[in-house]
Amino acid sequence: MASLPSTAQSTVSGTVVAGDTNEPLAGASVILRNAEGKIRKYATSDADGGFSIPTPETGGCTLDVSMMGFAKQTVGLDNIQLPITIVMETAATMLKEVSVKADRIREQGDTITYNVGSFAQAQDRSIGDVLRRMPGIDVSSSGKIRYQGEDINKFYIEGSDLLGGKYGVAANGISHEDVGAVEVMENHQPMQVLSGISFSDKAAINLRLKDRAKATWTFHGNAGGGWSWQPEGGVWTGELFAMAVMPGFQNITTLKTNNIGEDLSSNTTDFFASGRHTELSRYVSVALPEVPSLGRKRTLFNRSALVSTNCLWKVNDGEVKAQVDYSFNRVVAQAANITTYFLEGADRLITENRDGQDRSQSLSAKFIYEVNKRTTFINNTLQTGIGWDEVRLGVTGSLPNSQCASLPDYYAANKFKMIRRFNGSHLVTFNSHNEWESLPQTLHVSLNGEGMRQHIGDHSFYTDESVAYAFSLRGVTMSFEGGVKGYLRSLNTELPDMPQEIPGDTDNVLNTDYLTLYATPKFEYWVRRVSLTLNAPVSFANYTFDKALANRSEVYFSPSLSVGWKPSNRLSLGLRGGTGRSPMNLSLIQPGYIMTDYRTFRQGVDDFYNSSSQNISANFAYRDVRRGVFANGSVLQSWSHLPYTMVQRLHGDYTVYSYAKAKSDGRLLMASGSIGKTLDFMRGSANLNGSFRRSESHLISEDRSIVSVSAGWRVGAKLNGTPLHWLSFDCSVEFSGSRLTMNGMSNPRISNMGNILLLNIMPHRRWEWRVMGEHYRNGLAAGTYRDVLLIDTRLAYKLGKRLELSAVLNNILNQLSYNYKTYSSLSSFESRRWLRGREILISISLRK
Amino acid sequence: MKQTAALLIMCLVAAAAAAQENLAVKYTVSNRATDSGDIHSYNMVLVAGPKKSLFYNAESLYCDSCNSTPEGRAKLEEIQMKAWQVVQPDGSVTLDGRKLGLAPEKREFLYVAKDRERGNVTVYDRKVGELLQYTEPLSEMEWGIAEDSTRNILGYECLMAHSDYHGREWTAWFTPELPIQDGPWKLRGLPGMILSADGGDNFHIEAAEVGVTSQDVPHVYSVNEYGKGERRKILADHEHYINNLQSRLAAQGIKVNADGSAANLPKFDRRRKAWETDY
Repeated sequence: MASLPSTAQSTVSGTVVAGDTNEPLAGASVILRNAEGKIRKYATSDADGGFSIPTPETGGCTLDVSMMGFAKQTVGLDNIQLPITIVMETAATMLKEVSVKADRIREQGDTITYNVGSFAQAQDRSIGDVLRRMPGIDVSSSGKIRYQGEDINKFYIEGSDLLGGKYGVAANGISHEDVGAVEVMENHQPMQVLSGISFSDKAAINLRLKDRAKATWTFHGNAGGGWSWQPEGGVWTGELFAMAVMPGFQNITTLKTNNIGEDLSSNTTDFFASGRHTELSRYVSVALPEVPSLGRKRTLFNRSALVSTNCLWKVNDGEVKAQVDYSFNRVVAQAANITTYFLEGADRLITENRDGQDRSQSLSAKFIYEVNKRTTFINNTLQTGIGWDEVRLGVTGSLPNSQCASLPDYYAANKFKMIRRFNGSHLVTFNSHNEWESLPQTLHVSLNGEGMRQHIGDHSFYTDESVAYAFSLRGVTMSFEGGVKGYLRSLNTELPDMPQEIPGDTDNVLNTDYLTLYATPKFEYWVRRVSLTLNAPVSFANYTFDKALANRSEVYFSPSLSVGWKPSNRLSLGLRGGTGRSPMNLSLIQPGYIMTDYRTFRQGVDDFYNSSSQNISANFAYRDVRRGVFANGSVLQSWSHLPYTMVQRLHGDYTVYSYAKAKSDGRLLMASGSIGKTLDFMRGSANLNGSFRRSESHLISEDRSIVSVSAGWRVGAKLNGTPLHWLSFDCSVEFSGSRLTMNGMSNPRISNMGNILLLNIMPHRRWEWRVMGEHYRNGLAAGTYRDVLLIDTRLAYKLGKRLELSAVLNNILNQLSYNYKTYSSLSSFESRRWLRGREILISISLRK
Repeated sequence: MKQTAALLIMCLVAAAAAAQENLAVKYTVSNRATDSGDIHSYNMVLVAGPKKSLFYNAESLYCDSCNSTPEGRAKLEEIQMKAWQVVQPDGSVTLDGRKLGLAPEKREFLYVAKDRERGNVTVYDRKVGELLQYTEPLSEMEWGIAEDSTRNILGYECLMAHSDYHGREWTAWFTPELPIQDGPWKLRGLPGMILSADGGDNFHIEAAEVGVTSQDVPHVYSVNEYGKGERRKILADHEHYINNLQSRLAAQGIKVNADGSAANLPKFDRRRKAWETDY
């Protein structure tokens, strides 16, 4: 009820009823008008049809009573007995019918669209810089894009998928000033044939370019030069980016080069790539040492170059894409190492100084044809990759030597997928994967004036032909996949000059082949806030070893079940478990010794084994957006049972790894958690996170059985904020520790600490000044620490929209070395590494 | 001729008596968007009966009704995919992100449900990044009617009224010719339907079409998904949410700026961007 405010002197009250039924009418509009017809008071009738209007006077007044579907009644209030009964007669509404349903097609409308201009900041260059700021979008340091915590499944430019998973090229390359809007398509199903059947919880991103960047070529680039104190000499960096977006053709080409420690290989990472099925891995492991917990940019002494070109043509029914990437990388590294082998009685120490160079080149090409229609999806991807990797490593110390490894890689694959949809919700999928890989490895070792040459020839061919059928009904999705997998692999190794200390065969001539028939039924069910997925793959495999080993036939079954529960919008819980039996890694079958580096020999198992494992995991996620609290945690426990155990023996200065037929049970416990809270007073936040990992494994060292338990933990805290509009800061502290226990005997706990503080000052919109400090405190032994402090600064000046100048001074204190210590299962490793010294770099960036 | 007209009227009367007709008003609403500050214009519908009413976006209601069942969700996705694909001049079919606006999508989250029998109004909306609802009594709007000002809107003679409601000075034009004391958004309590309202600062609602519908007053789907709260608290939290986007992401471990610099997103201007400013 509503009325005008006044002091009530008398009350006009009554009841409204329907004329035909005499039923009271609720919701009728009752208006009291004065003699001039002006509205004085008003009310609506209640559920009993009653109304009451307090009013100072009723003389000359009239009461209007009206209601939808009834004729309006007007009653004079002079000489009327109150309460009054007003009888309403039905009447036709003279109003037209209005459609209140949604129009299926809308001509306009903005969607989940981010206006790039409103998020871009003065210091931004690429669209990737701006994407990081958009709510819900997260770009990791590797360049991988996530939306609401999930990896995106497509990255479109003007609606076309030019780059596939290599979208880092676009995110790092396209200038944000060429992009008008970023659209996020939630629940994006890229295969139209699956729409309405397979619900995608992933999102796709589409870049809408500004008109001036369309139907033309756009360019931008930057170039910089300077001086470095270590390695002493000139430094450079350069980049050129070109893009064309035409109606029937798209191209992105990028060239990059630098020697300032920037690793370019991540620029062309395919974030959608799945692992190779050829399952070859290198036996030879001569790699330059790397430093954990310190940015790669600090320790990489490189010369790198990258060329990437990507084209897309629209043809009759679909799209043809071609992508070619070439990269060159030359890295030099130096390290001084002390390796301690923990032995019963006396530990054994080996010292060495390493001085190495790694020269690698890779050339990869991809050709894709895709048809994406309502009833048919066809994709054929032909992919080739060639890599050359030459590593030279000179070692002085206990075992002076030089090593030279040649590690090329040749790979070709063709993947074909066709999906046909019929009768609405029934799908049939054909898959054909064929992959071939050759991974020859040659290692030359010169030791005490003698030479050794390990050669390995390793080839494999994998084929997988399958057909799948799926249908979906009332929240239940059933799918069934069946197929044949074949695998042919040949391994040839030879090592003519074996050290006399090591007994045994050094040649391997081996074929490990299999043929597998498999079936994978899958059942998914959603009911309200609970989801259930049951996966029950079963396979029959026949292994043949070309007389080297007895042939085997095996049946495998490894079911897994996962349950998800969302008791509220804020909390979600998940539980997952699986058990099963699986074949061993076939590359472990290797009866003869292989030299993996100058002092390590490895021998595999001499028979085929199966392993079994169980795992159970639980996780939770909580978010209270209103209070700015976010938390998540997970625990995983797994058990593995292997019928073989790794054996470590020392023969003189050589380490020899082999396997013995003995049961080996392993256990792994991992737990991690994170909690964050917003800090409103300075537009900042605080975050605490931690993790724990404990693994237990069995080894045999020098004929003694050893239960090795390694435990590691990490606790970190982060704080950031913008206390003043021209000042922001970001700091983090991290503690980590590890301890190795063998047969109940614990080694001292080794702990590390790292602190980072970054200050960003913008005194003027054209100027930006940044100072960053890093402090590391690393435990070398119990109670002994090594501290490293690194300070960088950068000053940038924006001359205009197209031109920016910047000056960078890295490692101001000119810290030249870095020490650390790590543990592996039976040894500790202490290393001294060299850092990039003080470095000054002046850069200019330009855009068309 | 007269007989035919009489017959027609009788038929209409019969039809009216058979089906309870509700008043339907389509409004064009415009206000400043929370993020960009641009003027955001969209369509809303009010379906009002004698006992209750719902103010909603028809497209959003359609999407919500679809999404309330797995089959509907699948159907909606199918419609969306159909709309977003493009046939190129050469006959090929591709998906075009630029056509996202062409299929129904939930863009407006606001629902205002008034229940005259229970005497309350419930607002459903997405605030603070969550679906939330709050309920208030219907009786708290007080208007001053200025009967000398009249304006004709879509053929209805409207009178002007003023109200200071939750921090905003509203000017509304209502017509006693449409006898339901209701209006767009939370506005109500005038002796007739409100067809136009202006809250200053570019907050404007204007009727585009008036008529009847034989449809019932729709209900809001999946009300259990909406967390319950108190209006002022929700609005205060929302402002805080907008202003602390960066720190909120950082609390989740997401760095807004990889280099740690400040994003300096624009501050939420309550006066210019909030429907209600009294929190």
